[in-house]
Amino acid sequence: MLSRRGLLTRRQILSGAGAGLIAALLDPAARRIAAARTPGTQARGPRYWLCIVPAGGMDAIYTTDPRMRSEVASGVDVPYKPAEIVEAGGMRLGPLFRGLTAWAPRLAIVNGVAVNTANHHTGLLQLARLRTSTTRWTPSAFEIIGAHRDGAAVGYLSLGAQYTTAYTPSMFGEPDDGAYGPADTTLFKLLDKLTPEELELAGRVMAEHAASLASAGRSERDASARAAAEQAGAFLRKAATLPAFKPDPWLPPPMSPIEGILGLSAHVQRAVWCFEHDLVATASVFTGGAWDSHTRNAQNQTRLTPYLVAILDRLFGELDRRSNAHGPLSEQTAVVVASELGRFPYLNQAQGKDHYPQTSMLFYGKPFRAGKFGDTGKQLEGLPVSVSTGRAGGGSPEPLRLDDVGATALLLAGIDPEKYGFTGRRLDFLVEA
Amino acid sequence: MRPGLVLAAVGAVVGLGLAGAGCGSGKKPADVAPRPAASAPVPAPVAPRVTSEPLLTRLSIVTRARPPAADELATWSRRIDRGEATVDAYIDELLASPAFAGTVAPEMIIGEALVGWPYHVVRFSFVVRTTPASEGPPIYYVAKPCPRKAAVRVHPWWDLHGEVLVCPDAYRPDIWRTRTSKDAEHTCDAIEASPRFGDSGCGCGPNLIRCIRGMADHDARAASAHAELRDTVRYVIDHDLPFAALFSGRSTFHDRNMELSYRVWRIEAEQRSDGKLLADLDAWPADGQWAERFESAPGEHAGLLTAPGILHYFPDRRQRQWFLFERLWCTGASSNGATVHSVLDLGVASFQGGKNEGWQRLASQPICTDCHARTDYGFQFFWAFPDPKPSAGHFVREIARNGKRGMLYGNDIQDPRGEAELTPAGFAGLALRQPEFGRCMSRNAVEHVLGIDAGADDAAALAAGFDASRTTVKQLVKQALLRWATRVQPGEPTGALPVAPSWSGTGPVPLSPELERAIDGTCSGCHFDGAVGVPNFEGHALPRDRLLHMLAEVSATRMPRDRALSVAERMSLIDALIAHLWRTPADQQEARHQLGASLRAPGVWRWSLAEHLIRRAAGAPEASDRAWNALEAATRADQATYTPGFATMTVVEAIQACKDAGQTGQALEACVRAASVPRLFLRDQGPPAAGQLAPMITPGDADRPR
Repeated sequence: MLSRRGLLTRRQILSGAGAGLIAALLDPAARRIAAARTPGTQARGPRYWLCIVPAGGMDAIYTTDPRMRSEVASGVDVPYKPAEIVEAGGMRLGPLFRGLTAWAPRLAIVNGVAVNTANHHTGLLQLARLRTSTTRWTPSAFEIIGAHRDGAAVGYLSLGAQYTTAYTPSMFGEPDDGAYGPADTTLFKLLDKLTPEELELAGRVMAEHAASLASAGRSERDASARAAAEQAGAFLRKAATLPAFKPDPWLPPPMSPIEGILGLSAHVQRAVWCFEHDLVATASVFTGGAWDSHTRNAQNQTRLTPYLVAILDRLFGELDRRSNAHGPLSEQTAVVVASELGRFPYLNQAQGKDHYPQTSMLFYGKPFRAGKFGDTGKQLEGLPVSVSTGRAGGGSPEPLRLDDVGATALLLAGIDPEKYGFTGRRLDFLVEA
Repeated sequence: MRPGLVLAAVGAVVGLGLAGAGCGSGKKPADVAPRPAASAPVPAPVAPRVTSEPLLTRLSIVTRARPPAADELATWSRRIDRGEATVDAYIDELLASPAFAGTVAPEMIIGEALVGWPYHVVRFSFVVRTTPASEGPPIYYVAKPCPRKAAVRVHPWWDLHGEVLVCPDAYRPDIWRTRTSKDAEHTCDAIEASPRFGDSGCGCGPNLIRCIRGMADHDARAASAHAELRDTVRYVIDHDLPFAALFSGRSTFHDRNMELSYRVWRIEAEQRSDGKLLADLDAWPADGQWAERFESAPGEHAGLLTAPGILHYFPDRRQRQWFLFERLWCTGASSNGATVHSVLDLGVASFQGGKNEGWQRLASQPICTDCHARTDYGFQFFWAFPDPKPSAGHFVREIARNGKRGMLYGNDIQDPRGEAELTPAGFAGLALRQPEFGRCMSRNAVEHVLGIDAGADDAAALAAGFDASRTTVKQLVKQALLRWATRVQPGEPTGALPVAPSWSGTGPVPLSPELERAIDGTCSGCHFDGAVGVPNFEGHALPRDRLLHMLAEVSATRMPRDRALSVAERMSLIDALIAHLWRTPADQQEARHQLGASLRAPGVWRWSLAEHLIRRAAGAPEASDRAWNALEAATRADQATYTPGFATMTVVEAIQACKDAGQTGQALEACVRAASVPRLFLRDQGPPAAGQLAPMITPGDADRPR
């Protein structure tokens, strides 16, 4: 398991920097690795990461990649007038992203990120891990970052997943309400019902179990079990000292029925609460696959995306407003928003849109350079872009891949992606030097 | 075993095992000249690694979700140690227990469908509400109440001999179809006909069959759907029927709620509002019976494949078919290689099936064919069960394809597996005869028994003698248990990494002879010079990036295909690649800790077993009304590891169990500690000491299935 706190500190990760420098000058691949390892060249990593997955497939033409009819191939669905496209922060936003206008100067959008699949289950398997070519046993980039955390009780939190493919090797969290049992029997609903004394008891007991595993076991499996028990104990003991989590009504009443079905606002609030109290370092929040609009694309996307936008608007405001001992959350938190798939640019016979094996991603947070990147063609297909500029051309051989995002996230955290099996490229255009 | 010998063994074992595996696009191992396998010794299993008491305890846990009672354990271990009885006989007794048939085996075979909520329940989003009691006898309505004088009297499905008042627009017993848009017509039991999407013109229908009164009805329907899956497995095991009986034929074991569902299908299909089909529903045993289901057309049913708990587990044809193959053939969720261009090049806008749509092109397109030939030709057999979301939630006789025949495909469009009538029964007849079915059922058994240590060779050994029409669940699981009992526990990797030839830091990386042989035996069956669509791994040196990708794929267990390496063999290959890719001890050790970490994860019993162990340890009543809504309850057994989430769940469950057992104060704390101790759950730790088991063991403790 990856949670080996105390055995893999940042100092140890960086300890081989000197030996890598010579190779770094000679080999482009090694240059990338050396950049991750050499002090002074690595980017500062956010203390907290939040990945929000509106599952099913958001339609880019309504959100991150708006077009006029003259800008697309014949037959591509453009379901609005040009005047509905929003100009903000130096980029164009689709009509359903109008609610993010105020935040645009602080957002990065990357279009045309290839995900190599047109299947929800594989898509979620991959997005949970920020890489393609992955299996159920592959750790998530967020878990890896969480394993290198500096003080938070638990490395990685997962909330709201509907499919088992989102289950990762360091799982700590709960699925969608009602996915595999009654809605009030998820881990956090049950934790919320425990008294502080019970939480303290639970934490104390888990800490004892961790200690017994440390003294009795010598194998790597025992060490992994110990680390898991330690995290559980640390979370529970800290939770015992805090007021119980209660979500606030972030949304206007007309959106309450959607929240009743998807529960995204409550999950996002819980993640932020965990960051605020340094309970977890990274979190993924999923919705059910409501955005999978194979029928009535316009009605479904139009109904759901404003709900997401309202949550993001409130989220960014809360991150600005809240702080903890380490400073304002807005300074410490990276947010990534993406569906596991995109939508085909043409309507089908049921006025819906089928799957497209690429996604668009939205980034918020200090490490990211604001703007829109990832050029797409007349069928909204991702074009080969330069990792330096994020624009088409420049001799790049391939479109952007989800693996590039995963590798970049790890590099931001000062982690060598190759040692975790991540083979993507560093997206220099996305991260501030 | 020394690294070099293991590497050589990797080549030997896998070189022989690639015959059934697919390669990159367009190439099959059969097209490839077989490579000579490197000869090397492969260790054979030796004497049992545990003596009888710990072994018997574990056998009981994995088959009955509880350890044996103290007297039972003492008696059996004494008799086995004296040679008066055999482990074989003990296993037979365990497999005959109600807990195996009713609790353990269903989860092993059915998987997440036993806990996930099927869409046919979600589609009951016609939720009736009632007027306040203060206004008199309640009137049922959907959108808004009506005047009392307008309400009509109806015999609802939940009380066929009684009467309730219903508003006319909530009733509409003669409305069977609705048009919700210019291009879409649904039957009234489609999800999109629900009032949640506006007034579709549909109502609750005759006897209010489309409506539920609230979450209690919703939960009861889901519970009945799950019970049908569980009780059918139990019945098949108890009557020593073969595996085929689970997924073929008209019969299942289903309760009155599910019988209502099947009759509702018929009511919707025949558009009957006369109430006659429900007239004798009360005669159906509330707890269920093994019985045939009505067929609107021959071949409508195929065992549990057409039970709503599986049929409607996903909301559309393609995902449903994917799930059927996942359950029958263990095809999994690894659909890679699709690009925007491969989809655009199909030249169609719709891939949903039906006339003039792109599914056939999708099924034959390179890359896409790897999944879509199987799923899309597969869902043709279930055509008369449309998508419940936009179309209908029942068998639609008008679109049944009786008399027509269709193909079943395996790995892709070049891999036809036969032809049959386009009905669910036709599908089952073909699918259960394929080797994938036996391999999948075998894999379920070994993963349940061995957990994270289950390997492809374990499943292959069981599958060798599998026959869907003869092999029973008990026979298969017994083989898995005996295999486990005599297994050699693989050791953890030693400190030393293999030696790699020196490398200047630029250009291709020279390979050691051992690594070259391992790659040759493991990978070169597909990855050879001239292979289409896959990188070439031949040669004495390879580019660093290519070795990195190889390492990423092997450590993620994506390659070689079919998980043809044991944990030790895979770790050995990973170590060799690490030695070639990083040259400082610190880098190598760091990479070693991370890559393959999941292979060394601490395996635990799956969550449902763990719950039973916790409640036993706490001395709590066995039955729990609360089923956890947790991914841990739904994942495959080989993913069950001791994670922070699992650990937290154990202590939360322990608190509840100890409180249910009446413990308070210091006794509560001691109980929680005992009921959440990690060694209760960790598979490769010894079983709890006898004293620790005391609260769990009551002399003569009988099995009490969940």
